[in-house]
Amino acid sequence: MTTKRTIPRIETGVRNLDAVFGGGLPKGSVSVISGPPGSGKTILTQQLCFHVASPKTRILYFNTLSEPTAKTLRYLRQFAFFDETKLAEDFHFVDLGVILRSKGLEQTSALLMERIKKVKPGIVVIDSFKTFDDLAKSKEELRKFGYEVFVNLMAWEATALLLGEYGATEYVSNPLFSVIDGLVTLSQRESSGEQQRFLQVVKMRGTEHSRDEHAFVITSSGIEVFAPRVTIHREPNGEEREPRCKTGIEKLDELLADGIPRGSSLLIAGVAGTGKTVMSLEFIYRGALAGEKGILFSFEETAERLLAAAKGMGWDFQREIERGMIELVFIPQPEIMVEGHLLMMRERAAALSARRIAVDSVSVFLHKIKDPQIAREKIFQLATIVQNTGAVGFFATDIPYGSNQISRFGVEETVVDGVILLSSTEEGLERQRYIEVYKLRNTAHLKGRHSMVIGKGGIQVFPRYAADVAEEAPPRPLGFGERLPSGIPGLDPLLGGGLLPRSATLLVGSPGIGKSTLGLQFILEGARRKEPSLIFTLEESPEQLETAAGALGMPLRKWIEKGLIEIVYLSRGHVRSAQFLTVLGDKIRTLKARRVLLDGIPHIEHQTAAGNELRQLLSSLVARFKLLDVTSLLTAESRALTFGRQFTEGGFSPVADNLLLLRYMPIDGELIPAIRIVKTRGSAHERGTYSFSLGEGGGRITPTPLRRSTRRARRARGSPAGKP
Amino acid sequence: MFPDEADHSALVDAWLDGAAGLEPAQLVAIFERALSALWRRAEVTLGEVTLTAIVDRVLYTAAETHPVLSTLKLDKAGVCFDEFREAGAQQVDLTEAVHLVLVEFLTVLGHLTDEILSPALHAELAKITPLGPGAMRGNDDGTQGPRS
Repeated sequence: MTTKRTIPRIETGVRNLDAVFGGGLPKGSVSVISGPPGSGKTILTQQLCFHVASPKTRILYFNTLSEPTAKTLRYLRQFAFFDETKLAEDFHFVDLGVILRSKGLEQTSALLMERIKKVKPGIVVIDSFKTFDDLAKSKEELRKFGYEVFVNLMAWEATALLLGEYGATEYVSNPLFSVIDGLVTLSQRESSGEQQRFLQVVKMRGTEHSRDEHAFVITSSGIEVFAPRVTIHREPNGEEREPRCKTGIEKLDELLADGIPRGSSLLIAGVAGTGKTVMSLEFIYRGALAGEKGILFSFEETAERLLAAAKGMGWDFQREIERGMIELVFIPQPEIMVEGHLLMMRERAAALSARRIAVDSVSVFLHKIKDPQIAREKIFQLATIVQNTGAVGFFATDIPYGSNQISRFGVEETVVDGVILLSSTEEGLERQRYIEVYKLRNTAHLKGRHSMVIGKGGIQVFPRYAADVAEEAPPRPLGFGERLPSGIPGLDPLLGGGLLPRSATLLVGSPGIGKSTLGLQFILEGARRKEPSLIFTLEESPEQLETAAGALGMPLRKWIEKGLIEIVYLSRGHVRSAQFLTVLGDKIRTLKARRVLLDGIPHIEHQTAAGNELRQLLSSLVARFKLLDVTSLLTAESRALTFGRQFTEGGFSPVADNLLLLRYMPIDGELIPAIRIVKTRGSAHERGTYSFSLGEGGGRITPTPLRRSTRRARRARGSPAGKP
Repeated sequence: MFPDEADHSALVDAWLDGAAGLEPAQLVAIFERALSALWRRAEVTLGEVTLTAIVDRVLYTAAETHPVLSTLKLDKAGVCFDEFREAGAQQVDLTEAVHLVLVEFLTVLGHLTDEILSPALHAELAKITPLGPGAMRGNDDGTQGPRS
């Protein structure tokens, strides 16, 4: 078996160039570095030579008639790679100008060999080799000279760099190009609206070099080649070994279920003003508070403006920056160099050991790129940086107004692991924000749009459905075998002995008939049984409820003071159907409530755009109550005063276990308050209509059905029905 | 496995062991035969111009350590020993000089050809054995006379 030997390589000292060569410049190779004047041939070569120069690897640098050595040296001093100490022993400049002018090629060849033998260089540079073309008396002389030079360079195992202003046609016609091992071309042209330099390895024998053009810059540090295509590769990720990322943004993690897998990148997409920057900032900030370092690359807002924005939200970014937990990097739009900044981002993220990386925004970062496929590739490289760093990336992207796209270029979403869509819609006189986890790989995230609010403290998400309820799962069963007293005298016998635990009772009634009073009795009964209870009122303030209850001799204040009852007034801002469940669930959990009264569903109805949405909300609400082991009573207003075919105005009856109708019955010219049990799930119930009265202590139901004993009912009726 | 520099040196050591006890003039003669044989074998693959450049390097480098080797001259037919026969025979450290040239030759050629030629060159060198008493110069086939 033949043993494969690898050709030794020379580390060039030019950033990323070794990767372009596929591992460095092959030792002993003869390469042409070609390009027009000012393309950077000499700087590239000098940078390489100063990097390599040592007593073991001497540099022999021949200047021909193109550029006097003194001039070359003068300009070289400006660069950081210039090292004067190497000039004496390791770096040998030879000016061939005089001998070329006076003696011709033959003598020049002899001088070259003489110097090579004397110096025994590791690298030989001839700058420019094209001068020989101009001075040769014939093609034959040039060919002979070239061949001799190559053979001798080869015999001395010198790596040779031959510089010249060769054009593309010469690569075919000039015999030089058939014998050389490598050809590196440098050029500059307009690209994406600005002049850029490019390097391309056209040929390099014995290597698997990149064939692409790579942008490069010349700075005081020398040449830096940008080659993300060859330097950014996906490494095996350890996402399964690490706990998933929790953003720390309120309720967003509920949408994201188990969290974001490490190494993932998410697009944060939305039109302008939907909260992308705030979300990026908060993602970084919450990470810092949780001990995860984060870096935010901003192409739109300066670091100062970002700090001011964060301060406005109440976040102490400055402290986290000083703690070394956060870095803000601002790159002004005009200075964006996509390939260069990709590499910069990789280095900065790695240097910080960032666990969170935010880019605000990728649409600005890539704004000069016209080809969506190139944009896609750059996003992929960005995502690769995130993955290799083991971080989680948030890439903000501007969606064009009025489009159906979910990203700027319409292709980014195919590369990233997740997409969070931010949107806002006009609702009445207000604009409401929404968030949707459009995609998140390997995660059972909550689907659909969820309400979102940006205010002091940051982003607040209101998950539409309970995060812990699978949408397809059946509701939790009622607690058969046990009955809970309703607290309303006369009602329990009609319900088969009381309410089933976890049941939801919908009390639908005409305006002013006493729904809230009966609801309060249900809650007070819970308090008496030491069951923490919650009242959500959408119509009246807590104070007004307390006062009204007090007027009927109902001890609401006492139980509130004992901490067994809490009244929560849901303001208009919170009554948005999309936010409702979240507020409610949080309160129930905090108080460990076992009974809940939700008073005022009509109010919700008025706030929602469609009845279907309200029914869906109530369905979710009831499911959440059951999940939280809560027995609930919901009151809803009906426009009807007397009993009719339609049980509820909104068609809510299917969502409740028990449906109680409160209506007036015209009897002997009077309207008598009456109750009818329309439905009780899992129980046999009375189907008659019973009168009820409100008085000291609340409502009371007459035990005899109205139709059978109207007179007795009328006698039993006490004070007129009404609200407490 | 292709040989490396240590193998080249060991091979030349062994080869020189076979030439132990030779008079200086005999050592020069066997050295000339060896270098001639190696030249011919390498020339087949590398060609005259390339081989000349390589041997020029080998001799130039070796002469820096053993100046007597500068009397070896290169021409189109190979290495000319005319001056060296006399000068070399008077050299105290002739064996080291011979060793250096042969090892350098094999090593440089080995590097440049990725050792592809080395087995063939080793075999070629192994064929060159001392001739009988009185043999002063000759070719690897045992004949004596000018280089072809």
